[in-house]
Amino acid sequence: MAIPSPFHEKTSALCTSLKWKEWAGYYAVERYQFNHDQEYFAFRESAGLLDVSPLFKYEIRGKDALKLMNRVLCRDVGRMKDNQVAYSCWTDERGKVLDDGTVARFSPERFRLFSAHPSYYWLLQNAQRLDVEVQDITVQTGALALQGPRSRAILSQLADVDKLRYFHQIQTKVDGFYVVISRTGYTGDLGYELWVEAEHANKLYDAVWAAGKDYNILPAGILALDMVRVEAGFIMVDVDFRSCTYCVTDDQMSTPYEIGLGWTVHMDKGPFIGKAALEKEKRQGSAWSLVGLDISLEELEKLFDARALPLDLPCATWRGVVPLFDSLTNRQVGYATSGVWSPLLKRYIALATVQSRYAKLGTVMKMEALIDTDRRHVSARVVQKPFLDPARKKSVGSDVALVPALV
Amino acid sequence: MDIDTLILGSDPNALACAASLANQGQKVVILESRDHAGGVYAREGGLPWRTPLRPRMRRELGLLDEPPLDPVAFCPLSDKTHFTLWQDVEKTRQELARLSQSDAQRYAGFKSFMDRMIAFAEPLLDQTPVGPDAAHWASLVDAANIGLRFKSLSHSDALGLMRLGPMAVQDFLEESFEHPAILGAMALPAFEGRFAGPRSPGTAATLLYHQLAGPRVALGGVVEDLVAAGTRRGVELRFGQQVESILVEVGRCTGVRLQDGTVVRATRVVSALDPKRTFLELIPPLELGPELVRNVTNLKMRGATALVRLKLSRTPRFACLGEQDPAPYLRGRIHFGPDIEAMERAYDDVKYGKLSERPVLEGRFSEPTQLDLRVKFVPFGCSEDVRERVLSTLEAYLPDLRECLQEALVKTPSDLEAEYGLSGGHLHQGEHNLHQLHFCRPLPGYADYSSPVERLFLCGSACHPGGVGTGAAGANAAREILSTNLERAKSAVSTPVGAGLAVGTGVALAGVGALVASLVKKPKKGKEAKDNGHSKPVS
Amino acid sequence: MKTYDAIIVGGGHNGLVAAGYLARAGLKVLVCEKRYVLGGCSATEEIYPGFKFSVCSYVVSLLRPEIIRDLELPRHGLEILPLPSTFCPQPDGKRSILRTDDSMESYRNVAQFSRRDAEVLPRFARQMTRICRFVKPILSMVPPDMDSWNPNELLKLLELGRGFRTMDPELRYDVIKLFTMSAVDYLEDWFESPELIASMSVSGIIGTFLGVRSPGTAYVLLHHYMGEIDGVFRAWGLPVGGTGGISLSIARAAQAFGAEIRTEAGVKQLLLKGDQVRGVVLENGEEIGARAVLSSADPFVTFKKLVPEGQLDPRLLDSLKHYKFRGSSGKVNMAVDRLPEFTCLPGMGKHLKGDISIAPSVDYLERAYDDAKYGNFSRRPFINVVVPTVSDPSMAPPGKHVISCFVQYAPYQLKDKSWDDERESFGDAVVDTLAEYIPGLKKSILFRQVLTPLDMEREFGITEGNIFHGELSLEQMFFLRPIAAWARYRTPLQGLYQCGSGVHPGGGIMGAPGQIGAREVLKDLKQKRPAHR
Repeated sequence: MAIPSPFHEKTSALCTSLKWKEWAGYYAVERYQFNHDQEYFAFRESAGLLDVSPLFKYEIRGKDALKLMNRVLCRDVGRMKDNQVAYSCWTDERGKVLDDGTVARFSPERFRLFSAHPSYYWLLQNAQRLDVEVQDITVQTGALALQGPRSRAILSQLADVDKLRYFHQIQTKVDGFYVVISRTGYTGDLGYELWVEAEHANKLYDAVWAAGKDYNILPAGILALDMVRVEAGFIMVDVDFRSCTYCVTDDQMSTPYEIGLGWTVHMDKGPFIGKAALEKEKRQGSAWSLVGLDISLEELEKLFDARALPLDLPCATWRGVVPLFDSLTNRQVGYATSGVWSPLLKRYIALATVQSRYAKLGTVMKMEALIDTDRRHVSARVVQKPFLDPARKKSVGSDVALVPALV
Repeated sequence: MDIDTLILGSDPNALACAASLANQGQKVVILESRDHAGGVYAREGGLPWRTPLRPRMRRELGLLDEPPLDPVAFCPLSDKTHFTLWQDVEKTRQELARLSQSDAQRYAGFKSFMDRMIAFAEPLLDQTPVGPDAAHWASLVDAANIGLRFKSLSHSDALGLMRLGPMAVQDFLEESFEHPAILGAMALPAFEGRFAGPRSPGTAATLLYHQLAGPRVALGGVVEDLVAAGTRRGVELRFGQQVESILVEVGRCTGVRLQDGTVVRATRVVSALDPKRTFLELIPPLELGPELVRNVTNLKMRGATALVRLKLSRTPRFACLGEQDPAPYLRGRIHFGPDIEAMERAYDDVKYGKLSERPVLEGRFSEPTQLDLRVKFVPFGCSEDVRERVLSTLEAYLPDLRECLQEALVKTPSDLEAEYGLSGGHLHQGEHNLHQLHFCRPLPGYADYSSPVERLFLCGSACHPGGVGTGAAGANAAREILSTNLERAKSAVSTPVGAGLAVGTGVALAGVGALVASLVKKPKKGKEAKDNGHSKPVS
Repeated sequence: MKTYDAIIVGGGHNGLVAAGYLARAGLKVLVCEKRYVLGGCSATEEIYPGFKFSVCSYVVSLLRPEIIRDLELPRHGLEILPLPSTFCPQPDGKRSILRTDDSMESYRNVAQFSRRDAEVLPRFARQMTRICRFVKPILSMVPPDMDSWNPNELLKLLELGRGFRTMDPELRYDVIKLFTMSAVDYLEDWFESPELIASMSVSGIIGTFLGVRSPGTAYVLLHHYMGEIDGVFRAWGLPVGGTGGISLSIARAAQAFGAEIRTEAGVKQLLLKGDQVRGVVLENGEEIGARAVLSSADPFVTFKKLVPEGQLDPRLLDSLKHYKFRGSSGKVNMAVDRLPEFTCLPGMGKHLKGDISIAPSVDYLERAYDDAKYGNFSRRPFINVVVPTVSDPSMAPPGKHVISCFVQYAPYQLKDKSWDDERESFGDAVVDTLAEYIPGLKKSILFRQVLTPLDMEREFGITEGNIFHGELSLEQMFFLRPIAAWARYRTPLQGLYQCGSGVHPGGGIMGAPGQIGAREVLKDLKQKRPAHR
């Protein structure tokens, strides 16, 4: 049985569709309304408010906190400044990805780590003989994501976020209680995440809601999030790759390089778990690569037309395993794991894992597509990720916030 | 002069390793934290006996042969009778006959079965274990050797050996014997270094295992002898050296840092300390991967033996001997009486973290006025009065013990850890459980005395073949160290995967072939006639 | 004299499986069952009006999927309901370990005891799955013949060796540990919460005369993990209609293939001509001829009772003496007039549909074992409780329930006492213990059946009441089960085969001994097909 998040009182009142799903043991809203389009556009045009409390949250404190973080994470947290946030993955000793998430540095002796899967055991296992305390603050901490071009205008009524830079955080007070606001998110857009003690969760929700009223704030669910994250080229654990904790065979596991997270691996930082294996892979190259795909609408249209049907596009992200074939030999060379029709880009996009020699930009493969009842092949071209990368995501000046995403 | 090898600790394994390396011209320095060599094996340590040094080592170092303790076990019983297991089979048979005719009849057969098993397995002590990962030609030879010797076993012996492995010592012995005291006396060695009782499966293997190195000998001056042999070859011993950490630079061991800050550098470091101390205390925490740390943490090292030294004003009177002169009985081991059920009950207590109500006491008069005892079972962190429990148990056999008692020195497992750095107070640096033997000792992949840190080796009884003071681990480690080409990293030693597999399959084939061949030999009539006396199941 | 191709002694699940396979191959087959009902230890009986009991065995998971397919058991009535949880109430009356089919629910529950352990659970499950993949093929193979130069036998050995060698070293170490360690020692390698360790360790002692701290029990733990339902390891199920439902479905399948099944037809002895089996004599004196006789009885019954004296090599019989039966478990079945209500988790819930263990601590379990070591039944025993009526209402009248309690330890040999005198006080000990967790239990009992190992021996013919036909200890497994010379389903007597749990791969409602035994019979019969057929 799932349990309610700290914001449940608020979200359940707003969830008129009664469409819930389970997320890490919590009730999470799939979509608030009967159609999630509005929620998607809120993320891209005004502001979407999403309860992300089910994320696992850990606080790491102590003299050796930096040491522990640098031992576990692939990324060099020594380079981070205080109140900076970073995205990283972490691997086992064989360089196989355990999970990905963000790490916030409060000070060299205090960090917070946010992850999709429970990570307490792994932190503890690696903290042995270090002067560090790992605390699971998942239950005690509520988390809200406010994402979209208007999010800054909304939040600046509550806190001083105008100067807050991309992947940085401030510690502030809202209505007298402690809130951490980080300029992070899973939408690839201007946006913030707010971390608050569970007991103040509803008050925070109300405050954000009130501030957002004039800016068309909308509560948003997982379906809308799943669309924007594909546009942003963000991968999702258990969907686009698997945590090696839950894999039975090596084939099911991935390394950071294989899932496009090579950029988070800092080889120059000294030893960390998995380094030797990753160094080897970096030298020898990876067998697999994660790419973005653009699926040919013309071909799809023709196929539907041949069945006398109008073009039917996935207006919500599908998650699964859709085979990809070499366009000449028809041998399977990879698989797409999530895909969606982007209403903003007007393109059918997908994330896929392919053999590395098919990962070059411009490579065309065949992707299996379901045309009503028939399985057919359509062309899918490897394109640059992210599919959508608005300038406002990183901008500091408030003027840029309202420039359309695609300009 | 630069130090070739730095050895941490100075127990017989360390000393044996040092002497062997020095024999090959290495400059060897031993760092010992105390002011004398030997650790718990020093005369002050309180060990009543030990296993003899390996013959090859004795020859190499020019040491004298060590006479086995005889009696094997003198067993005073609580009903004021007694019996004795002697080295001599016939003499023992007569003793057993007083308790049970059937046991006496079966003794010779049992003994000869065990002897054949020992003959088969003993050479393993001097070999670096061949594991399933073995990919080196030398291992292939060793494996073939094992296979051939297995082949030389009779069909029934081969089956007997396979059955013996997982059995409980009580079940195993009950196939031959019936008298509870005889069962108890026979079973006793099975608990050396085990946290187990007579009914615990796997103890039959320990029984065999502890006899491989030959009959027990007096503790004697083994440490002095080895120190002298080492010193003659140029080994330098430094006392009072508290090692704070092992220095590791880029995955390679370069020396140690002492607690006073001094750095001692050496080409390689060999630790005779147990793996928990070596890996979890001395090596800096970030140098080892979490999987290894987990495996080391999980090593079973539950010390349950206390050493008690009773200093007496005279030899006490044995209730069971009456006016008889005890001298002939006191030359060997003495096993103060509990039958096999009492031993199980003694183990029951320690399971719950309590000192045994009636501990199992085995001892030896190392001098006429000094009784050294091994006391089982004493839990780690025991807060109960071990001294009193021992004395009150002994009184049943030695009625005037308290009158002649001058001093009782007790070393519980906690004391052993504190004084000698033995983690968990375990005298063998790791239980002799089946999963901690041979190629799994101390851990799979490191049975060749190597470690995850380049140029750091282990040579203590935590390594194959464990045991008490045979020095075999030290000598084997020295051999491995000398054959390891330092310029090659450990990973480079193993042959490429394909070749490794091919060779490995060869090993498996040789082993299996020999195994099958040995079993193919049908029991021969004459052989079986000879076997009739012993009780091993035959088929 | 009536003659068959094959007669199967014993109509338990293994005997019936063997019959099914032989009949399917076109043989004329007869099953002789001593009791009035089929199933042996997997039988359902209405021993109290309106209430049906899985008298002995009570859950299923090891039943080989290929048997279900080959004999088309679902068509013959096999239905298995998944057990959704394992539940271990704690003596404080507040907490409980509840692991369910909902992984996050289990995570949160275990995290109350140890957050670390909650995260280790899926890692542990993954490791077990990987190891089971290595061990599983062994379950369906004939143990290699150590006496043979036959290349097939050598290949089998090599294959095993290669599987072991090519295994991930980390996995291999775990295999070694599982085969040699105690359940508690092994679990302590993974977990830190004593409550969780205790609740998980009990799988390691089922059917053995060992404690959770005795080496060798980790293997039994694995043996229980090997169970699978629809391909999922570690899934246990409740057969609809009790375990007799399984036996009946197999019996119907066998009959559909043409097998003849007779109940109340106990076999007294084998008919021999030289060392060739000719048939059997029933207890009523009837003689029936057969080219092959398959005994699904345990090795003691087969070799000491069915085979006339003096027919076997005395030295081999001597080694059979060392084969350990040592029954250690009892069964208490109850009919109750209401749903059992646990103090720590009152009311109906997933926990009642699953498997319930009274195993509050490792020391508790060890003390239960200590009692048995010295010849007493456990004063405070380990109890495995299942309430089948919560999932399968066909077993009792509406609103009423059946409680099945598997109890350890109840040693076959009591010291200075007889089970006939102790039976009811044993039952009381079980009820008293259970009542500490279910306060209303005593008042709700309408009927109680206590089965001691002695009762099981008398009623079901299992020697010393051992539910596995001999302990699953390493020295009596694989090519050593029951003894080396007789480990390959055949016996020194031509035409006599074994197909019970006393041969590889051992006990549990697995059916594999019956299946492999039948396969071996078919091989032999094919080689020497008689002229008259």
